[in-house]
Amino acid sequence: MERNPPSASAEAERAAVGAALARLGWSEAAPPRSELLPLLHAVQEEHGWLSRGCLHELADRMALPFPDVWGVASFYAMLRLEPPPAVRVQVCDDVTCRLRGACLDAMSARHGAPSRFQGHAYPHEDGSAAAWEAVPCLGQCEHAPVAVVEDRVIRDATIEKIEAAMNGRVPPETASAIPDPVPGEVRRVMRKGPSALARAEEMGSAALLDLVEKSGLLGRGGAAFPAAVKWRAVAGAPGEKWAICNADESEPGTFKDRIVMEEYPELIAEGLRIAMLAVGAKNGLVYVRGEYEEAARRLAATGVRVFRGAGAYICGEETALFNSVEGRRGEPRNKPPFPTEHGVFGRPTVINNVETLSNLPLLVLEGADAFRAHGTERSAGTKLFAVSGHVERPGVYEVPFGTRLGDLLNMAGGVWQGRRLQAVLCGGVAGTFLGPGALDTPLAFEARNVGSGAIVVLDETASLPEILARIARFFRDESCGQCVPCRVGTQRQLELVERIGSADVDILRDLAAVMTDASICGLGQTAAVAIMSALPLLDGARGDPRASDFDGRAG
Amino acid sequence: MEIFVDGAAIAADEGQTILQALRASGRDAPVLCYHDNLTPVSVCRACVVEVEGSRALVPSCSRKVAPGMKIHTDSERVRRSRRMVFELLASSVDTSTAPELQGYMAEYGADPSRYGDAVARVAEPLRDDNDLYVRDYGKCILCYKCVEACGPDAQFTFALTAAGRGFSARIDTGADTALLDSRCVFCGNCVAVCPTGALMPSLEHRLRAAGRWAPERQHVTGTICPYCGVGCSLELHVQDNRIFKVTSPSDSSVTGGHLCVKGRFGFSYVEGPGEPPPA
Ligand code: SF4
Ligand code: SF4
Ligand code: SF4
Ligand code: FES
Ligand code: FES
Repeated sequence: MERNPPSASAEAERAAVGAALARLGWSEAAPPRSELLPLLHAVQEEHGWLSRGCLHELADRMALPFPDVWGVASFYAMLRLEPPPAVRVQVCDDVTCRLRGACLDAMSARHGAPSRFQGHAYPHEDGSAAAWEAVPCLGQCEHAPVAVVEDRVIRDATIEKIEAAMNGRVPPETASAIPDPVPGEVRRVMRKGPSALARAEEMGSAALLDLVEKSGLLGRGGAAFPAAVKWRAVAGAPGEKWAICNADESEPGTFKDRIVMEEYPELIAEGLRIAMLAVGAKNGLVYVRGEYEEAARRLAATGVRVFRGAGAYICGEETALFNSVEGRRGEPRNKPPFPTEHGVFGRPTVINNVETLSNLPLLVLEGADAFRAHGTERSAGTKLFAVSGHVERPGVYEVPFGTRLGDLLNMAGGVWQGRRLQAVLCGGVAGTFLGPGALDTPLAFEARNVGSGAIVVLDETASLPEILARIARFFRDESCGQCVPCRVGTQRQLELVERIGSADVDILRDLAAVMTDASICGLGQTAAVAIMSALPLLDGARGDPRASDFDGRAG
Repeated sequence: MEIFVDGAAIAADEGQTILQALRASGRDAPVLCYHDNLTPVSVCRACVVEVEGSRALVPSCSRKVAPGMKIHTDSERVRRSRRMVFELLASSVDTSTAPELQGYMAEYGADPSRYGDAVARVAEPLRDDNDLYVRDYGKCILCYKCVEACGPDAQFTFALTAAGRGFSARIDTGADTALLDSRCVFCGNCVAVCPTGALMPSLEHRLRAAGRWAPERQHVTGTICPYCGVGCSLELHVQDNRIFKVTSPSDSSVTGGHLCVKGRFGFSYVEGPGEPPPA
């Protein structure tokens, strides 16, 4: 039943694994399990893909059981368990790229159906590699539609550009600079300033903890948890501690952390350093989304320790991230225990998002009052929003909390081509759809509309059912598969959304209830929120009173 | 300490899980991934209860009690989530040899048929690649019990893993290696803990496949394993005077339900003349 017979090129596989081990400094000793993901990346770079032979060899060299290595390798979309085609072509088919005219049909017509990661490698019916892959959001949505040919990101992708690149004929693209601020923007985080490190070192742990508490800084990753509460818990814990920057930004429509990493990497390195000082952590690292190669390079250049993900949205969940760092499958853990007590390697761990940590240098330099001078009473400071979709100027905009949604859209040039607004997906795919009547809503944590900071605009021509189906598929594809409500619930939700009629609303509500109430982690708990919020906007379900009273909780 | 379950005060001990406290007071919760001798993974979510002050439902099999905790085991939210868990499982896998799950479905009124026929199911061929046990992952609910029993909770062989992710996640020997070529040492401890019949002794599988499965002609005989000095307690499962399965009581202080290949599968020598085992 062995799917692949033992490789004929065992020697080449051994050599590739040996080279990968040597490159990471493990020529002699057996590496610890936490080296598994970096080594899988390295072996893939050496060999092109992760053959059975490579994985057996790596398992032997690491003294790990082969099934364990297989379990990890098969979890991540970037790790290839099948040989790739001669030229690797990935076309983003996610929400924003669809809205901006991703050339999916043209690609299919000319190059056949795409392959797609389905939670277990990329299956090809005849065993051969498809010519191209449809992939989830690449975090480059301000340039949508986006494709990647080999390692080259193609912005504003057209079929002509993609085909030219497939034939090796594309001039190198120049990195686009951050545009100047537009009126209404308040750039406090996104700027190059003096270093705050010396000042932070002078202040020391107690003063830093007080400062963060006084500032009211809330986590920017989506959960809006007070940073000071986490920090104090870890600072008060005994023994060795960790501080981690969560840079696994992978939610469709979200690209603000990528911009900060690429343009202001030193802010993150300083922010992490300040967090380590405050909580007394000797160890720190930045977990960067695997697809963000440029961001990882620029961060590494600051001297901070960078750990690369490998294509799994779920690893942005903090406990899944810990497992990933430890060389395990990126499955979230049941909580409690919480990270502040039992985090990475079982140690007390403070974990903050890129944007949260990027606020620290300015907070240290200017103090809590200056920080609180922007924003609202309960959401202090400024916020980065990634605005994309049907607007004139997609991009990242930094505004004070409390800014009206309509004002933010105006900063992005308003709905493009003079069209009318249909809906705004506010806060990412785990956020909510708002209709045109909601433009006066202030954006703030207390309004529960900030989420991941993604704002995706749909004009009157957009197909809402198509977008909902894509969102449903995202959750199905990215579920870790551990718990029943999410593993099966996201699959059933996708099937229902693809055919939605009002008869299905009762089942959708039951699915939403079990996913929200009984899933292990935030992925399953939020997988129904955007979809349920859109039902009142859908023609098929419009007028169905059951569709409009869902608030994300079980009734 | 005192906790409150559906309005009634009950006594509980520090360090107990909610499930343990429920059971100690004569109550219970449905469980699929929980097993007394395995570390709780809390993935099936069948056992969820409502704890006041907690936003989401909590798994009673692993959540520890706290003084004054107010727990609801029969609220509409709890019943709905449990019903959906059973319904979702039954809509995706073959439950024909999973009696506990069938019982829960009836108790909670799960109706997997309402998703229609056109839904994706776990489609896996029967893996019948050795003489001792078969693997039918089309019945697997991914409770992780086999992985735990093969790994650090009993056997320390590490022949099994979860692979892939999401709806495509499967239990795997690693690259779908045939059992005889894998790390498996055929202790059968995974078979013993599997709640669905996804893992099944080959003899039982053959009886069922041949239409000769007859529970009314079966009995269980307790004995001690004759092979070594450990002296594991055995239960011989017999139909028509032929052994088709050997287990050990999970509350046995000697085995905790776990055996080695000899005790589990090495019984053919006791079989006297008679009808040969079904081929
Ligand atoms: S909710 Fe989904 S992603 Fe989270 S643990 Fe469960 S299956 Fe995994
Ligand atoms: S029979 Fe024993 S060794 Fe083999 S997979 Fe099952 S538990 Fe592991
Ligand atoms: S094979 Fe059985 S024990 Fe293993 S995960 Fe599936 S249902 Fe559970
Ligand atoms: S890059 Fe395509 S949706 Fe984000
Ligand atoms: S029995 Fe508690 S989650 Fe499975």
